[in-house]
Amino acid sequence: MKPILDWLDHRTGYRAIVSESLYENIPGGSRWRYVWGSTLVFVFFVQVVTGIFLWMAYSPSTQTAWESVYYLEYHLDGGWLLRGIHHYAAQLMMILMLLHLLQVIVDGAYKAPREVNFWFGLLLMLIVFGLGLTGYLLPWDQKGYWATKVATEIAGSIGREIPEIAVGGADYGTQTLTRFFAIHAGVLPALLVGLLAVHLALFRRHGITAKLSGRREGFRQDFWPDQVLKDAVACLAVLLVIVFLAWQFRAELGAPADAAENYAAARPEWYFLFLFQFLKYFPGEYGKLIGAVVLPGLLVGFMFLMPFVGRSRTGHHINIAFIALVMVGSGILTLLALDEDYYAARVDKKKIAEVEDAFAQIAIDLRKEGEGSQYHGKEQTEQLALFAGDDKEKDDLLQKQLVRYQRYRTSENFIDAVHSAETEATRVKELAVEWDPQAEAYLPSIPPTGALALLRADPKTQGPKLFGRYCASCHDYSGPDAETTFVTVHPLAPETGKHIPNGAPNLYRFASREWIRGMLDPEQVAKVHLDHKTWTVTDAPYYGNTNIATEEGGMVDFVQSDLSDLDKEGKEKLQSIIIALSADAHLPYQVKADRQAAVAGQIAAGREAFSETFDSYACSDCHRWGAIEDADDAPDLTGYGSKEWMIKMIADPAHIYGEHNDRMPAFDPPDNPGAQQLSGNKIGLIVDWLRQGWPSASIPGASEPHAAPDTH
Amino acid sequence: MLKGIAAVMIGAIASLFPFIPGLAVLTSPLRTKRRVGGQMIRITTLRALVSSKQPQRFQVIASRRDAWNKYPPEPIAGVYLAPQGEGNPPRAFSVTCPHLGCAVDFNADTGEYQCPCHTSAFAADGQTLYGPSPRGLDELVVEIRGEDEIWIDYKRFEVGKSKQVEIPS
Repeated sequence: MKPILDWLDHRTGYRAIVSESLYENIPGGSRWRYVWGSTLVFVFFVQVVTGIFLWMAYSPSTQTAWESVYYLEYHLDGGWLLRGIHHYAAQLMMILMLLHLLQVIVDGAYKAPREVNFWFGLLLMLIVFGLGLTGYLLPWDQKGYWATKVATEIAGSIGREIPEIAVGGADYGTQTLTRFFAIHAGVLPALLVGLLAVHLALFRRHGITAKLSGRREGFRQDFWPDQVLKDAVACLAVLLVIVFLAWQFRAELGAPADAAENYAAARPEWYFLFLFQFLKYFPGEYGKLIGAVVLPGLLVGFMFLMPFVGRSRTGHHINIAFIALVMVGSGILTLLALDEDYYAARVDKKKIAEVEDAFAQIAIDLRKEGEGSQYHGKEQTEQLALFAGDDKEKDDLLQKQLVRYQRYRTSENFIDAVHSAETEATRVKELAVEWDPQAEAYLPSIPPTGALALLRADPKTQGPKLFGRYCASCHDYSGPDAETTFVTVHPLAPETGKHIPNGAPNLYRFASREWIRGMLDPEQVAKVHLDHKTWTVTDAPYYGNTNIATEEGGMVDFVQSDLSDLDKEGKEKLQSIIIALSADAHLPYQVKADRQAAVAGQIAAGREAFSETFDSYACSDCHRWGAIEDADDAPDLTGYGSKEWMIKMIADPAHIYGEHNDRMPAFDPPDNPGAQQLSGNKIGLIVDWLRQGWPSASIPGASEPHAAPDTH
Repeated sequence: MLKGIAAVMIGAIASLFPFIPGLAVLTSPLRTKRRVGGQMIRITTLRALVSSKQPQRFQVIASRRDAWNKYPPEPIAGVYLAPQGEGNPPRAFSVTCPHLGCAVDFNADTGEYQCPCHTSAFAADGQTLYGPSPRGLDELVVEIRGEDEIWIDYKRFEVGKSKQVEIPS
């Protein structure tokens, strides 16, 4: 064996290299405090290995980035673990860098002759920050997209050229992804390896800066095996932490990035939160530049000067104090950022009860008095001062609570945004799969245009957004089991307190049997309550808050006269009409009940009863319905509540209501495309949402759309 | 000595672990469940075929899946439908030459299916006439649905083999 090794050594000189690498002498012996550098190299190694495997699955384009990450996470064996390790190793690297930096500074390892090496270390640190920043964008989810946008905007404060080169244009898009990916997987790792080689070579040139004290003087050990063993143990411990985190908390994947949907929950990763918080204190035009570029730049600049500052004993202490201050400061800023964001979660609402009550009272006064109100046109602080009047104590309390109140509201918005983001993230993953009967499994089925298209076409997601924007100013949507609620405040006329009918029916479960029964109920059809305490209209589920309620000889008249005090026969007749009419809607959540009614002959009975007179009139005297075509005056009930009927209604209410239409605008009038407010597509989304007809969760077995329990 | 061994072992475990999920992901295609069995696809109608006596080429249009994508239906393959006379359903042949996978053409003059790559030729019933193809053209099962619609059980077969071996999807 020895002759072979001799031959090899003569050709390569490996023995000298091995000897030099392994048998470095460590004055004072091996120590645990020296492991951090090695753990950093190890974590970088982990990132390269996992990174290369990730590279084999990732596709950097706006239509495939999120999708490829989704596919890896949920559909490739072990993908979640691979990605999890990469994600949490990045987090841990930031902490290990901190520890390494601390040890180097405290032990004075930056002092001569190690200044240049220290600078190389600082450069490595900056590269790792860059890796964190560029990596965060790559999944192209909402969080990464908006958080990175902020970062490039900050860079833009120096000059527009920098973000445009990084972003690949004026807007974030595919070029951004390809550039960031090249930087993340190619440029920065290559730079890192190069600088690391120099860093290690310089380190070996000068040896460890030994912290000798008392018992360690004169004690010498070699790098191998003692320090190597400590390093290995530390690396394994780090790995165990990373794997534990990846196992317990999967790496997050939010909804696909949507440039059109503002994301109120955008935050950088936790290790940049201190900077995010810091920026809050620098508003204004130059704030960004000073807070994010100049000041941090000065801090890092000072660190480059540390080797010279630290020449004297005092200087060394200044350096330690400086780094301690920076770390503590950053820590505090991070905690402040988290505290501000989650303020509403930890503060009891009782602490702002008085100021909330005050604002409620002020709102009532504004409604009552209009422009004559003392609060009109005033800022919140002034309004509260006026509210408190002469009571100094109350004023102080309210002003103090106002600060809390504003923080509470901001935090609430953030938390709500996080919840919506989580809901959307879950929803898009439900939409991304389809049951394949051949494979007998749920297979990913994202269209080539990307997963965002799925979300934009989903009534469950878009319905509430569109309804809130276009319908909710008049229509309420509230009821038991409603996942989202829309209730608008309708004030009474100022001063007089007269009723201004500017509402519209509550559309929760519109066209269902309960809804129709309510509309044909003499007590409910025109019900409205004028609350003179809050100066609002309340409790107007149907036409109470519209002009239809006061129309002479109209539907409301009929309901209140003919349909009141019905005998048993009349009640049965009405019930059968309701069942038959509601069945025309083909509501997804009423399918079973409708089928049962058809089988039991109730629908046929209802169609007959439609033409039977109640007291003075039958329904067919005014309404057309299917084959019943005599009348012409009232809305045509053919296909009432069906998708087509509702789309026609929203597109052009005059089409259904004719002259009886109160104030509902035509959102897509067929004869006037210039006046279109909503495309047919969008109306379809609102209608599908109102009918609760959306693709359901792809839980094995849940193949029926979400059906609320039938009440009869 | 012991310390050295411990160092190496611990270091090895730590260094090799990240490869585990990486290799799992890398080899994941080997573990996707493949099933034999074709896909019923509608090709055309008997009416469309009635005018010709010669075999006619049709596109096979189906939805395709690729990783996370599901593509809307688009042409994925070709098939020849050979009329078998009045009242009989046509026979369907895959255009894929069983030699090495090129697409064959029907030559109306000679009444042969001809492969341009290595000049294999097949008779009207799919049997090899001459050339290096190890077997005849692959026939696909035809099903008439609703009196007029021609559906085929679309399958793919391994090339270069004398026995017909289905490629599971």
